[in-house]
Amino acid sequence: MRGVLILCAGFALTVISSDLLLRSRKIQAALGRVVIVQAIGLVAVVAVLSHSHELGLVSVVIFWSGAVLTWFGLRSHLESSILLRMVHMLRERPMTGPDLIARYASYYGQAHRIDELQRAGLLTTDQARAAMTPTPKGRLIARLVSRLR
Amino acid sequence: MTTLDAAAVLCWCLMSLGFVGTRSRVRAFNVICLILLTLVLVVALSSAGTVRSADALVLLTGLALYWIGLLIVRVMLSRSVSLHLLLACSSGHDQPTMDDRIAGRLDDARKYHLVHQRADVYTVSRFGLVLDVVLGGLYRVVGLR
Repeated sequence: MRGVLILCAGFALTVISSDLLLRSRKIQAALGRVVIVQAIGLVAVVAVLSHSHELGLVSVVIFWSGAVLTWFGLRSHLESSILLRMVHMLRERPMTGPDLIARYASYYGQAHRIDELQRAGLLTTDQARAAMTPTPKGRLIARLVSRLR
Repeated sequence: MTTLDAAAVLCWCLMSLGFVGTRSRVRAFNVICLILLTLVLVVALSSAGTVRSADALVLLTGLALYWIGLLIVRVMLSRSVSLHLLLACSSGHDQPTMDDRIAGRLDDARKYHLVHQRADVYTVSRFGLVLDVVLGGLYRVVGLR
């Protein structure tokens, strides 16, 4: 079971490193860097475990893929969930529906989200049409999302 | 590569294909994953003498986490407001708006008994308070305001 402990500790350290890298940035805006950190963590754990022959490569890679996907989903949900944030805001003080919606919009409303999409290189301003248009990367993700939905 | 390794890799691939193939039919996806995971468990039990128990434990945990992760991604795909904005901008038909989606989440909070509504004012329910204690801790841990 020493191998399992090494694997869990390695994954925990990699998640902490990813969180330190992100600080208050959204995970989806720094996905490339997070993927690099996770890949380094996986390679390091595989290297350590290959010496002791305590766990097979397939086991480690499958565990890592599942753990990373779950962590990514939970972290992303925590950052962007409107419902959770509304509950958090209501705990500070009771509000009417319109007040709460306005408060949320000022916290992380449409302008913030568009700004985030721009910083992630998914949207750009089309000066001629005075509108937002997707970048090639944004179009690719939009196509992918449409197929998976 | 052992038989269990091969079964786990096949299970991982079929879960991924199931995720793409079932789209928003979450129940069908869950049934597929449950059957696949059960089959891998049967393979693990039948090869108990030849495979290390640590390997079997890690493989099964990894596959279960992958299933959970894919379910969370499914929720993101169907509910993410940022993705909705990106899709709206990509379609180029109209300017996107998210006000109706924000209002919809307030209805969800009421449906899940996270908030109460008295007259026009919303307050957090007892269940919502418990959730918020956990949530507040998590927000602090990941450095969110």
